[in-house]
Formats: sequence, C-alpha cells, structure tokens
Amino acid sequence: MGGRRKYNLNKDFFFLMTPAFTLLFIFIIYPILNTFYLGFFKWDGFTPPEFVGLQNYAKMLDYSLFWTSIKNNLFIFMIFLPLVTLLGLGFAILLHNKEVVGRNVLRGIVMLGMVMPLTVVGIVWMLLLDPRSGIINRVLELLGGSPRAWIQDPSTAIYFVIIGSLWAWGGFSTTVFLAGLEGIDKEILEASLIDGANPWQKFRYVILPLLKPALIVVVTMSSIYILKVFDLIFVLSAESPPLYLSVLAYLVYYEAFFRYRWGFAAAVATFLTISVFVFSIGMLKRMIEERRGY
Amino acid sequence: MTSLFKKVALLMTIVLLGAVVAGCISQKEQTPTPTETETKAEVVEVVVYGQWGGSEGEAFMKALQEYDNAHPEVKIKYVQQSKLRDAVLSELAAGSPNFDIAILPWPALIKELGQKGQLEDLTPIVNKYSGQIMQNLLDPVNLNGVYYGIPIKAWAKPGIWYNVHVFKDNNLEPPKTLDELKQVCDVLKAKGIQPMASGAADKWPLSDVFEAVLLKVGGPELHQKLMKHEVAWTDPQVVEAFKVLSDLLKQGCYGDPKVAIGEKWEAQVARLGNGEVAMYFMGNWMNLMLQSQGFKPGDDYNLIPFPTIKEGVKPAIVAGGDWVIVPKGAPHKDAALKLAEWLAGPEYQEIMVRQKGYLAPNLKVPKEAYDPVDGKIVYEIMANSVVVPDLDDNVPSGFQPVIWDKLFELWANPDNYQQIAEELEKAAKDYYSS
Repeated sequence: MGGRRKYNLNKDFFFLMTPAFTLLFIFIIYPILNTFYLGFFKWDGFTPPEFVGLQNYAKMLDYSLFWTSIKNNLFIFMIFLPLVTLLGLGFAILLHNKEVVGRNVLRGIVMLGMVMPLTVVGIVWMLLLDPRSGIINRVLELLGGSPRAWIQDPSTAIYFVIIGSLWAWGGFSTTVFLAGLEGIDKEILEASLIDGANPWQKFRYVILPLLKPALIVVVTMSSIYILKVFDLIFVLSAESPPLYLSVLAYLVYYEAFFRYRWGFAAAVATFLTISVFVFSIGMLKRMIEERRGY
Repeated sequence: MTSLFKKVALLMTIVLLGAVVAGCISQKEQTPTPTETETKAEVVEVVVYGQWGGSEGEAFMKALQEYDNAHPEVKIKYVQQSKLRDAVLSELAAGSPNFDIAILPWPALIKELGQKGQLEDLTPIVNKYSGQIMQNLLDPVNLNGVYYGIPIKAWAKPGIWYNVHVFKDNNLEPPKTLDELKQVCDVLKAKGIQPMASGAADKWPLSDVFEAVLLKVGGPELHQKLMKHEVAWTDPQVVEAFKVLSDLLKQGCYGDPKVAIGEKWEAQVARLGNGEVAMYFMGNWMNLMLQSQGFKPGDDYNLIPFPTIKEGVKPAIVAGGDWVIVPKGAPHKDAALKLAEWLAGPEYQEIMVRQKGYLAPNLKVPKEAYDPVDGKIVYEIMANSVVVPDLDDNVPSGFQPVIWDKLFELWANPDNYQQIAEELEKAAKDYYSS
C-alpha cells in the first residue's frame, strides 16, 4: 500500500493490452487479412466466391484504369507534397511573426480547412466550381472568359483535386510547422544574430534544421493522406467522378460497388495498402528516431 | 504462466461475449419476429424498399396514405434506398430481410432470385388480375409459369421534351429528322439558347440518348442484338450511332462541351421549363417533374419522338417497369401480399396516374385518368412503336457503369468515338464471356 506498483512487463503487459489487441485484431488486422485473402477470389459480393489464385493481380496489371489511377496518384502526389510543405512553412513563418496584424484571425482562417470534414470541403468546392451557378465561373464570365465544368474537364479536373486538397490539408502543415517554430529556443536564434547571420542564413542554417522533426511529420502524414485520397474526389464530382480522374482508392470503390468485382477490388486494395505501408514505413521510422533524439 | 493464460482467456471471453450480446440486441431491434410484433401491437408495420425519390417518391407516399387510411391495421414505412440492389441482395443473402416488399426495376435479377428460392410466388395475384396487366411486363418475371414479381409501374423513354415558347418565339417547328434537328440547333445557337441538355455529369442519362440514336440507326433488332452482345460494339451501325452523337456534340447541339459535361440531370428540368435550354431527351417522369415546378403540359412544354435518322427503320422506344417482390422470410408476409395485390390493381395505379408522370401496367386504369402528355406516350408513341427493354439495365451488371463512363468520355472528347467503341467491345468480351 502506498508505494508505486512495479509492473511485470511479461505478465501485466499482455494482460492489460489484451482488450486493445482483441479490438485491434477484430477491426483492423482481420479486415486487412480478409481483404488480402479475398484478393485471390472472383466474387460478386453475393454468390459464393470462386478461387482464382493470382488472376486478379494479373488482370490488374493488364487493366488500363489501374494504370490511369496510379498515374493520377503519382501526379497528385508529386504536385501536392512540395506545395503543401512550402505553403505550410510559408504560412507558419508568417503567422509566427508577431508583427503581422490580426495573426490570430489569420491562424483561424488557415486552420479552417483542417477542421472541416473532407466531404464538406468537397461540397464547398463543388458549389464554387459549378459550371452554371458557381462563383468561379461567374467571375470568369464577368472578366470575359467562358465558364467550364472544371471537375469534369479532363484537362483541369486533377488540378482542382490538388487545390481542394491543399485547402483542406494546408491547415495541418501550417499547424505542425507553427508548433515547430514555437518550440525553437529563442536563445539559439539570438546567438545566430550575434554570430552575424543574415535572415536567409538564420532560416537556412538554424531554423530549418530545427524544424526537421516537424518537416518529417508533415511529409509523412501528407503523403499518407494524398496516397489514399478518395472522399474529396468523390464528393467534388457529385459522387460520379470521370474515370480519367480515378485514383487507386476510388478504383477500389468503383470495382466493388459499381462493377461488383469484389475480389478484384480486394486485390487493388491490397496493392494500395502495401504501397502506402512500404512508402510510409521509412518515413515513420525516421519520425520515431527523431522523437527519440537519434 | 497458467495464471496469465487464464486471465487473458477470461478477458477475451468477456470481450467476445459482450460483442455477441450487443450484436444480438441490435439484431433484435432491427428485425422483430412477426409473432412478437403481432402480439405486442395491433398495427403491423410493412416496410417497403424502393428507389423512388423527389416528386416521384412524394406521389408514391400520397398513394400509400390512401392504403393506410383504408387499412388501420397496417402502417406502411417506405424506405428510399439509394443502393437498392445492394440493400436487397445483402439482406436476402443474410436470410433475414428487414423489408416486406421491394420495388425493383431489374426483371432479370427478380427471375434469378426467384430461381434461388428467395422470393414468394406472386402467381395468385397475377391470376386475380388475369388479362389486365401488360403482358410484355409480366413475361420478364415469369420463370416456368411462376411469377416472382408484378409490375406496378411502367415507364418509357419516349423522346425529346421541348420548350414550346422557345420554338414559337423563334418560329421553329419540332424536328422530325436528324437534319432538321441540326438546323434547329444552329438557329437556337445563333440566338444564344442552348439547343439540348444531356445531364452528362450523372452519366446514366447518356445511355438513354445513345439508345434512342441506336434505335433510329438500326431499329429494335440492332438494339436487342447489342444488348445480348450478338453484335459487337464496333459493328458499323453501332459506330454510326456514336458518330451521330459525336457530330451533334461537335456542332454544339449540347452547348459548350466544356460546360455540358458538368451538367447534372435534375438541374436541366428547370432549365428546360425556363427556356434556357430548348430540348431534353428524358423519360416520361419529366412530365411530373415539370408540372411540380409549375410548368403546364402542352402550353409550356411538349414531347416529340426522337427524330428519324434513317428512313425505313421500325419505330421503337425503350420502356420498362418497376416490379414488386415479396421476399421469403418477409417479417409480415400476409400484410405484404395484401399490399402487393393492391399495388398491382387499378385502384392504386389510377391514383398514381392522376398524379402525372406515371404509366400504369394495369390496363383497367381508365384512359381519362391520364393527362394529355402521359396519354400521348401510352396511346400514341408506345402504341405505334416496338417496345424494347433498356439496354444498359439488361447487360451484365458490372458492364453498365462501363457503358456510362465511356459515353461520358464521348461527351468529353467527341472525336474519340471509334476508340470508345473499341474499348467498349473489349470490356463487353470480358463480361459476356464470364
């Protein structure tokens, strides 16, 4: 009584973690394993599944929509990731500056996209971009331009997915960088000034290295988000995305719920899961190492 | 270690038992057994699944109210299911449907479910209305003399709805041929009026327009052969249908293609009524939709069959229906069968006909009940045409969205029609072979 209890890790660890592991197994691990298993079957969701071995994976490689989806995923990733990082960093530096008038209001505005569910973000942008009543087309018409269906147009659709994602995710990267900036010891910054560093040198050689943990968080989380982006595309296009806008996560949905090819959809889902896992594992490892202070 | 194992086993048992109990409770709440409901309450709640919404759903609810009023022992709950097929199939597969009646537009699926023994035999109801129900809507749900569904609604995709004022103000006559249609397009375009709307953003309306063109190019035979994939999507006549659409798109008949692909189908109804757009190919439900927005049939809008493309081609239109089914294991089977009988009869169908935009499969409904436009569809257009089932509704189910998506691609890039036909043929081979 009264003293700190000493935990026996071998015994108590397993005992205390059992409920969490049970739930984790039921709701996360089992569905993932089951999806992987289902990828070896031909199944329409209603009739008994038929084992087809690796056929779904072979079909996947021969399926043009699969490659369109990968291409779109990569394109969005390549554009989105640098932009969300730079924008977040820029906004964070701006909002960190105490001389900026109304910076608290500005912080609130920047965070707005982050606190809104992606479906709401999608609806907002869908309304803004409506070819007949959307304010963007109205303004364009006033300026003498022609309205267009930005989301359905193959030449513009993907850029609006990126813009919508930046709007939604910019708040997150700004917040993380802002927290990183707030955490930098003022004495270090003062020391750099005493050493004669100009603003650029202060940023490049002092602030940026100290922001590395924040940078890793932003890059990791933003990469994971953008690789599995689905809801924004789905809602932006009023639940009917043109196929040239397909990404892997949408392809899973499309194959399962529209084409009733559940086995094939499971194979694509497995591919997506492994891709995101492989891609993010390295960065997650670095993130953990940074936190441990390696 | 034994003690640890016991603790872990005990904890897991508690968690799993908790889950099982929670599951049982929630299932009990969702599917009360008939005995429980019938003994606890005098009023039986009959659950109807359907996909009718908007003004169509409201009209249906109004008719159901009549049944409710006449049958105080029954309360009908209509559940609009946006994923009707999934809801019905998953509940049937689970063996415990939560619905008593479903209204399905897929006769092939009804037959398939009947064959699997998942549906009640509705032949006694069909026999009761012997000779009254449109035979061409009964045949698709007949399996070895047993009817597993009864049509309670007929629909048709009869042609192009047009704004009367736009045509009058511009001294135009409704087009009867493709050339006339193109001329009308040019005149309207010059006046700054969008000639036609398509609802392309929703994709499915495009297959209706395509089918209308296909019927005018190759008649009902080509349409049916393509549906069964007895001709290829690259067949010259099919490609010709794509080309007709491609030409209309390139000519600007559907307005600026960059905008047309973003137009939602329901938004086009008001635009047609207001005269922003002059013509719109759509099903007979447009009549109800336009009237519910305050537009008058004949005065504000009217209907013409799709213009002739080739002389000598048999006139044909796409038409179909919605069928009621009663699942085996329905929570309230007797009440469901009684309701199904009422829905198949002339009393219910006359209520619906009088609300407009509804065509009755029960021929006992008096002709006078129809408004002029609905009457025109039934007694002029349908009576003088070969009626064919909807092509995209009757292809293998996964192939339907492929057709919609490829037609959407045609709208986005009209020059690509040959490649689109080839891609459709490739996908069709895959689906029909499996």
